[in-house]
Amino acid sequence: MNDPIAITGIGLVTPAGTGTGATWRGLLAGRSTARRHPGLAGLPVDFCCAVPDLDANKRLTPKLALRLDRFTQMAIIAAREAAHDADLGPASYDPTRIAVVIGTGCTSLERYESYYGHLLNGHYRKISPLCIPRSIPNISAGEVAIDLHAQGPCLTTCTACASGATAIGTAKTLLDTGQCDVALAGGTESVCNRMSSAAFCQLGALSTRIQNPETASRPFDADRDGFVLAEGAGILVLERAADATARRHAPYAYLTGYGASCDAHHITALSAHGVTNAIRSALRDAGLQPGDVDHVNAHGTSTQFNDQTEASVFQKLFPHNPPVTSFKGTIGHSIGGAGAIEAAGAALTLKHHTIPPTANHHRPGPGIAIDLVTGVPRTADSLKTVVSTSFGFGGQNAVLVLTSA
Amino acid sequence: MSDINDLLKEALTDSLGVPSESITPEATFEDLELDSLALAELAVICEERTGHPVGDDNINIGSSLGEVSAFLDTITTPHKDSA
Repeated sequence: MNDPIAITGIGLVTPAGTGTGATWRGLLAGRSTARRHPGLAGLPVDFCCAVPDLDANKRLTPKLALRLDRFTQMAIIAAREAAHDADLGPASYDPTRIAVVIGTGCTSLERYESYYGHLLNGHYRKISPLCIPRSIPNISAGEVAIDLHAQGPCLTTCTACASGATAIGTAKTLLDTGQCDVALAGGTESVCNRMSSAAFCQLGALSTRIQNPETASRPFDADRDGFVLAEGAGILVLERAADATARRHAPYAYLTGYGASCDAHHITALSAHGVTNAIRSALRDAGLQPGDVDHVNAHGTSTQFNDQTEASVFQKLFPHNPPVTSFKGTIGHSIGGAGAIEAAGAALTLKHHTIPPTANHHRPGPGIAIDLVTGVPRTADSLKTVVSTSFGFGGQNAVLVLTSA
Repeated sequence: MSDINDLLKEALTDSLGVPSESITPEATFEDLELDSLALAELAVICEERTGHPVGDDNINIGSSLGEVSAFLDTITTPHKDSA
């Protein structure tokens, strides 16, 4: 067990709004943000949860915004908010000791339709020279480092839908081992584009509730039929608790445990064994037992298989039946962004003693007997320990443990 | 401003995010803080819109907007409203 890591800053860009305040209010409201998206017109699944007010030209500069795909625009906006929130001024830390670790699950496919169009037509010279630098998954970490002059370790983690949680766990490891003094850690992704929608749909992973998009993402509900693609970024500022105390900056919560595992079983189907191992590993890192867990912020994608497997693990591992929630009913699944947004939300849950509800959950699916928070937020004054779970294609699992400050 | 080729002006503002007030014939790309990648992007845009090859000889970091405008004028159909 290592010294605790303090979460001293949060930045969020989500379909509930740009900024931590807007996102938290949206999560508490618990209403789905899924809408038809003009960019997806004509596709079998033409809706998603998009960020309504990104306005990158204004929040960044037109020159910077036009160079970037959405996942990097969102990462920079969230990172600036997190750094500001943590009072991470230029003079407060040696820039060579600031790490940037950001998870992204896919290459950004936002503009690839046009790039491939040029390629197929033999118009190679029409492909933008920025095609590669603006779409490679690690560019968001690189751009954030440029933007905030962070010169320590800088990397991207890619564990599909667990990427954001893996990034936060990896940053914790960098802090634990003294590789850096501060880490901007989180995840970012936009899959609100045509190729992502068409391809995830072909995989059978998406809800096809096209008549009522706002009811499509319904974690753990009996009538769930797949997840809803989304976009978003969540960035945390992490530092050793002693450093936060020394500069008198009160943390939201402590990041006390990280556990990772691989199912080594199937490329898309979750295994109860792998999930259990990751949770146990994270609790071990935090020096806690399953009985210490007061609340679970679940991966809860709204697919038949994920929710069934995840609930079965919770029921077995946590017989004391702690309350569970999934943000994906409200803000959909932003792949590499999801785990980080959920970790940020778990920190806010600890700070505000309030668990946001799972949107669109009306009756639990067969065999699902967890205490899901639905309808309205639940006040939980004695909340001390939260587990946040994330699972990616490839059987790659990441679990974080957060403890109240 | 009137000496700047319309295609160049549009590409700089709409695709590269250069503030229109900094677009003057005397300004170089270096003055506008455009790097080599941005210039490569600009060359592709100019080439796509004109159908004429655009290379380093035509657009480079030290070029002034006036020089590039003169080059683009030779490969584009002049607009009626140019002064």
